[in-house]
Amino acid sequence: MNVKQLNYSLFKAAEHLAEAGKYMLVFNRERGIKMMEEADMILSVIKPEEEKVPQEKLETIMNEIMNIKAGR
Amino acid sequence: MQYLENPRVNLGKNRGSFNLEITTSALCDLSCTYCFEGEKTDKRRLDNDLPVIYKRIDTLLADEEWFQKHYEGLNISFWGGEPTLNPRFIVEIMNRYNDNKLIDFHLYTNAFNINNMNKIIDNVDTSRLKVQVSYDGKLVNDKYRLTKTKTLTSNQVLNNLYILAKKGIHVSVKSTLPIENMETMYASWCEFKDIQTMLWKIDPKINISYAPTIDYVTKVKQEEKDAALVVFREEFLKIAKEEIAFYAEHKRHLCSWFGGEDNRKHCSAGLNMAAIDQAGDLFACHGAIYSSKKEELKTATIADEDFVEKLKASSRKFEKPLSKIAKECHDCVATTCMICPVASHERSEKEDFFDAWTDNWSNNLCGFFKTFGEIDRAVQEINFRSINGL
Repeated sequence: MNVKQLNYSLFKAAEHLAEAGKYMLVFNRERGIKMMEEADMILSVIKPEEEKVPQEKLETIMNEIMNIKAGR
Repeated sequence: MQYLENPRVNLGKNRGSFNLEITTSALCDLSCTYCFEGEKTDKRRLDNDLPVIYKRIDTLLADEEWFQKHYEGLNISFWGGEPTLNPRFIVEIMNRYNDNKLIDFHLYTNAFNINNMNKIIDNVDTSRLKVQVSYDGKLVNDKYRLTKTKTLTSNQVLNNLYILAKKGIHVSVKSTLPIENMETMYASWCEFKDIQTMLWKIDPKINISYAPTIDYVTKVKQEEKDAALVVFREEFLKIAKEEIAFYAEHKRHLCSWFGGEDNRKHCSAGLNMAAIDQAGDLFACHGAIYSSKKEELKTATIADEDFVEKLKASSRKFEKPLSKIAKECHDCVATTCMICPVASHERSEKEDFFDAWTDNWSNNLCGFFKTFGEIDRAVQEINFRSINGL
């Protein structure tokens, strides 16, 4: 798992936890707020890294790969 | 040159195993035209020095202040020439440390002579032995890896690889990629996929990689390198397409270059490894044994009573080049970088030892790794989107 993948996993974890917190508010307001605070804490762990290949160039290379003729 | 602190290198505890390479014989039974070891005529061996070698290994294992603090164990790696030309030496060391579970063993081999190999594996506990077979893919192998009478070796080597796998030996394969033969890469990748399929039929747990090292020793003109880079990119684009399918099916890459990160930019030669040559001299790694500046790189000899102290001092010394990183390398797009510091040191005109050791640009190979880095990042993005349904 590289940093980008880790960041994405952390983001998804925070997203799901915040969503769960939202529903928890109905049953236990204090616990729901706590879950959303925990989601915030997970988000704060994410350290964005600058992309070394600009997105446009990355898309071009991805297209090159998918369209190249491979095979024996 | 601007340098930054290197956050990705592990200079603390838990460094895994220390890798001690021992040259069993500098001779070889093949005559590969691209071999970086040069003429292999030095017949010296360390057979009579085994008691001293044991003493040095025992002292190293007992060292609490450095070895036990940093390392989980010791990996003894048998280097050559062709290491299997001295089977008795290997058997004696392996059996001497058979009951020491802190020690693992590794053997480099061209896998050409199965009889010599059998003299080893039939007489030792092979459960802690890993064997790395040198094989480049048939197109390269049959051009460069020849016998002394210029006969081909591929079929015999592959056959022996399968024999080893059938005997339950932990095998891996390592390749050399000559700059003038970049057009063979895709075909080699396909062949390695076939070899992998064959090995899975023997044992589904055997995973090999296509792990080519660009030949950084043979001198090639810049125009030829530029032309090779164009072919290199085209070949890797085709491999990338296959790798995406391979990754989707097996959750790993076949070519070891893929899936890299920014931390694959440092050779830890000298830090967590050292190599003893056929004369008993100690170096940062086996590459240093063949440097034209070999004498500058020698750190001890097995005859030194303070051998382990010198080894420790050398390891500490080699922390320095890893603790910092040139900003240009830090910002580089490469995800795999195999620039050899020994080659840098040999070619660099810089006077300070570590300035020369880390003078990566003197090798003039950055273009290959940068080109691949872009392709690898694209592959990782495709895999990432595929896994996450994006």
